[in-house]
Amino acid sequence: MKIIVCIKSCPETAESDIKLTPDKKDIIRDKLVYTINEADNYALETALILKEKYGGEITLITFGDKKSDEILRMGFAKGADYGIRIEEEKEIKDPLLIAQILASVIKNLSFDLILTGVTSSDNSYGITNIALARYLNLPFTTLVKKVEKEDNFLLIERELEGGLIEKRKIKLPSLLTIQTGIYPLRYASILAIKRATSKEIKLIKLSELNWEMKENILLKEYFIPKSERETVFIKGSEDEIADNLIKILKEKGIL
Amino acid sequence: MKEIIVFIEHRFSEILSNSFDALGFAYKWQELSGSEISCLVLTSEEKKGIFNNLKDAVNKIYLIKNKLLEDYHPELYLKVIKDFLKEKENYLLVFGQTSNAYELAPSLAVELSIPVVTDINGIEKTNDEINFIRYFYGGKVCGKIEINEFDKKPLILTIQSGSFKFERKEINSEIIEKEISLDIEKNIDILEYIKEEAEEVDITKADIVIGIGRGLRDKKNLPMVEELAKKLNGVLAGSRPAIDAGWLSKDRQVGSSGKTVKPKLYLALGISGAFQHIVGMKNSDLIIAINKDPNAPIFSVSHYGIVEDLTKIVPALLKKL
Repeated sequence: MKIIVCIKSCPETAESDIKLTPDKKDIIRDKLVYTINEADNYALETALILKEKYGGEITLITFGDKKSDEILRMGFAKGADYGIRIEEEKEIKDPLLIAQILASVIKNLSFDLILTGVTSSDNSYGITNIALARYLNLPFTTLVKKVEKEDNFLLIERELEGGLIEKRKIKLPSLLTIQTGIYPLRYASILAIKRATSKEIKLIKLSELNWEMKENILLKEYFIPKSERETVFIKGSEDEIADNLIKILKEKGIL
Repeated sequence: MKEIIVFIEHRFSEILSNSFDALGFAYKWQELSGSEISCLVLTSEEKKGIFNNLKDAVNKIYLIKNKLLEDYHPELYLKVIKDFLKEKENYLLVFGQTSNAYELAPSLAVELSIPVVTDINGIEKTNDEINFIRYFYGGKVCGKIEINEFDKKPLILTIQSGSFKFERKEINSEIIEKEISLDIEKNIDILEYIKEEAEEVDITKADIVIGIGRGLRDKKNLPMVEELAKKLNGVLAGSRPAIDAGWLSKDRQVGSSGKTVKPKLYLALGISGAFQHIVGMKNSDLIIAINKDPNAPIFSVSHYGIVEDLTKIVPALLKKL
């Protein structure tokens, strides 16, 4: 099975201190660590498992600047075969436009399946993936938690609200968006990481591609959300904090 | 002004709560713009009763009927909604943010060549501008979004769950019913729905819930929080990263794709507080959060906060309990 995995390099923000630039149009990025978008990492893992089970090859594709090469190399180290980077010569915010750009590259590749993450941890639109499927005229399924291949179709399980699972059969070629947690993630060995540094990455320039749309989504500014509550912060040594907490729990009738 | 059309999702003959979030947004839009509210329901003649709940709460209800539309199917729904919208000129199509909206909103945007923005949690109107507000970077930052040529073009939005309250208004409804024929080649078959097997604990019934998140860092720290849960007579629950890491089973997940809890105490340990988690616990009576990141969004809904590593505070607490 020939699998394409769309991946994106995102700053790690869940446990980092985030500040805005003076013009409020961006966050300050120089101290942030970039890594593969969490959900995309699970899409890659799913591709690796499918390759192990059914054979085939994996092509990674990303739209980004030079630092995105790192996530492609990490993918090689885990077992991906090819990597393509579309050079992000200008920043594009509208996910529909990014989908169109990805489609203009992927339409020239041969593949059976495209895998992506459900959303990205930076913008969390969850639009690019399904829009890509439509630009390529492929059937699609979101929030996939299980995949098995039979002949020319896949049997999948998909996450719905409230712990409900939907079972589907979907024809190949198609596009799936993979939910986090589908499989445990593997780590690449040091040796494999070393080997991956010399692997070739195919570079495509944005200017070489056909895309016509203009951006319709304009980010006016960011702001830091206001707190919904007046939070009382408990300070002190670990012991003092523990004492204070117990006092509060007693006052509230919990202890 | 744009007509607002709310897509009503239903499952097993019940309207999903997310569609009421979308209706809450529609009321807000009506206040700002004076436009009429329409609802679009795809259903069958037998099941059309589900719309009764919306009767006299919106201006128009479109019922498009076919036996095949009783349950969601991505290809059929896409085709029917697209055909319905072809007859409209300028509209705002709104979904609640659901698993199915993740499929429908982007694919309709492509098919109709119109913009789409997901997970909206606010709207702001100035003299001549409309801005939509949503979270970025897991809820640490909000962004104001302006749509290019908003007045002239249709737009698709999805609404973040819990962000707009639905308070029913009395509006006489016009009901427009249409039985359609459907004949398309399908690439997808929906086989069945299954309920994830429930565990012995129901976290929604517990008075004390101890939520764990990414900040637990390692499975080896699990025994200390388990002991804390035991000593407080509470149950362990978690945010998505704790479930994905395999520390807890899926039925202990709190948040938009898990469960909603309202305990007497919610103790959030190492949970950053992505909005998907916060919607599932913010109405708890007492919220105490421990997180080493002072800017973690969890603190914005917490009554008490402790900026520390949970693996330092929990052992200190255990000694004294």
